Amino acid sequence: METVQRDTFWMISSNYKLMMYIFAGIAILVFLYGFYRRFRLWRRGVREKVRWNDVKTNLSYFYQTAIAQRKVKKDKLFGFMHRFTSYGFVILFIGTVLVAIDYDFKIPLLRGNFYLIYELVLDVFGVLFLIGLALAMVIRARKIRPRLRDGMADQAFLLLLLLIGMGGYIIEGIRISEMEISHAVWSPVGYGLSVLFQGHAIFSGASYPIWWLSHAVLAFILVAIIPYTKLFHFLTAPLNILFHPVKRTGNVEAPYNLEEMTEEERYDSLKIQGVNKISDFTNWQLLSTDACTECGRCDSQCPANNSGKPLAPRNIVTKIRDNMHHDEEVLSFISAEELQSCTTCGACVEACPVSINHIDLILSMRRGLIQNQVIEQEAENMLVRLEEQNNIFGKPWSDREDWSKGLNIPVLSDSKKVSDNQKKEGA
Amino acid sequence: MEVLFWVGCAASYDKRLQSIARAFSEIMEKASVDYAILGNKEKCTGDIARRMGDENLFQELAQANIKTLKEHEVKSIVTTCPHCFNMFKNEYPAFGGDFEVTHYTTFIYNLIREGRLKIPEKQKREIVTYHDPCYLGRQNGIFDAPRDILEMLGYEIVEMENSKEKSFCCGAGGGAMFETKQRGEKINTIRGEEALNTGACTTMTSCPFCLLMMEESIGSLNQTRGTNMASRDIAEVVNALTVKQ
Repeated sequence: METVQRDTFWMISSNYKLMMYIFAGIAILVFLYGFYRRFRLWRRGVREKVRWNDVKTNLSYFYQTAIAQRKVKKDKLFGFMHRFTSYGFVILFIGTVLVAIDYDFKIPLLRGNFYLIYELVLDVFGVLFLIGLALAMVIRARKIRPRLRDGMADQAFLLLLLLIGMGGYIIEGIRISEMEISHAVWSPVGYGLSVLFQGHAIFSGASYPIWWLSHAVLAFILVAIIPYTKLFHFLTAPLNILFHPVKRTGNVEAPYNLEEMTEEERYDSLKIQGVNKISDFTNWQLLSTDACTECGRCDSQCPANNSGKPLAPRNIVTKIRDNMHHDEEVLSFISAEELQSCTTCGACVEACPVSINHIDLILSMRRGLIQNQVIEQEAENMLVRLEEQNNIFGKPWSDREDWSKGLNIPVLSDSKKVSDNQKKEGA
Repeated sequence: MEVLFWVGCAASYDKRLQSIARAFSEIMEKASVDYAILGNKEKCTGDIARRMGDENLFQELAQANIKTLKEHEVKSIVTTCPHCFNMFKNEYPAFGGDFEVTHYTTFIYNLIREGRLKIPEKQKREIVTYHDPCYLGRQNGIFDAPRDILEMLGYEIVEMENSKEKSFCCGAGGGAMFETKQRGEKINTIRGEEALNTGACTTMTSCPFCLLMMEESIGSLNQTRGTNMASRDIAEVVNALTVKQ
């Protein structure tokens, strides 16, 4: 009786096998360098430690956002597209890792019933993966979502993924048609293809190694380009969502506390706490910009952007990302007008599926503007009057309670008196 | 004292918006709530300073307010302004200001549910639309209390194209109200159009700044379109429909 197990490197000569391992090695090195290159840039930011206690409570948010993809799902069509491609990708990736464990680490996993279920699961998710990719390509080609930018590169990434997925099915189909495996029905797509392939020279055992190698090369190209392209969000988005989620947009984190500072420190704080150059951002803020996929949900919801003001939240994020490697003044690539156009309404943050906090980025830079006294006259007058009169209109502070006069409204001018009076009345 | 009514700059100083402060204090009077205001000791919470980038001014205002509130042993605060509400709820705790804070929509909702504020028997009233203030809705998750109050009074609510989490800003937040240089279209015009497109009679809101912006844009749109939509704050509506027991 035939044993049910994976026949890795079927028909593959030792030369091809060696080539595959060399490509794999190169791809992994290129990937690691690319990752390190960005990691080094994030580390230039002000160090903000990982709050491990928060991470536990972040898990449910992570589930909602990264796994159930609640925010992506709000756009139904995109919800299907992204869940199909991402779930497909992750399952196929896990499948590939299992092969490496089985073959390279000589831990027999892909045997017997487990192997049959493995084949079925991978075949099914492979189909979802391809449907998702096709959907994404159609959405882009037909410009169904105006928020997306026209990008040849984006289509090329999708095509690359599509070719890798299809290549996997082709080599599976050839293998099944040549080997006449009894349990082939557990790979329904591969089995179907094997029937179609019968008698076609291009899909014969002889051409199999070429198909096989091209599949491997494309997959390694993908691995290598991840940290250099927006595909990096495969890693940075889950990282950002888990370690730096935006649970409530209304909360601005305190960059420092004046009360806890000495006079000297107060002076220093003015220097470091507003963002003037890239390295004034925190490391997590910098990482978050690498999670951006340029999907444009932020722009589509932004009231400033929708009313023709010079602000587009996506540009804020991508400009920080693209200028991260030279530590220049922020104002050399982001204008004060952009920053001043934000109403802090939070629509962008709410819409962002990878948990970027645009408001936090913008407010950090606004603090930088104030330090450099880049402010419009009217706004400056308003702040000066606010400081003098303790109200946003700059009217006399002593008029504040005037509205209540004659209305019999109790004023807590002296707490004891009020509570004493009340006690007397009560008695 | 049961609760401190934090009036905020807008409802204290702006002639139009003072009606919100008056309405809400009359509501508390009707419900026999033991409340007080800080009067001239109240200072801006610093929301606008912080969001315009003046962190130091914000912290100075916050520290002063926290000190005053602690001196008066204030435990519980109610605000009519969602921006003030947000500051007490989310940003003052980092500076030692831990107060129980409620927005007036939740406060009125509770007064009605507890039977302290008597509302007229439910009867069919006009169709209205409700504008979610960013700092109340999206940023603090309060969507239901204002809508429930309106429904308990008998109003029928039609939603705008963008509502709740996706609500569209009135254009006043983050200091934008004080940027005089006009860039692009006015944000409140877009929101005013959304409101008019519902066909409702009135735009209801629960933020003084939103009320100002909506009244301005709907007012001028009424002129050009020949429509007749009004804008009101929920406190004004509740006050007009209730009497002291």
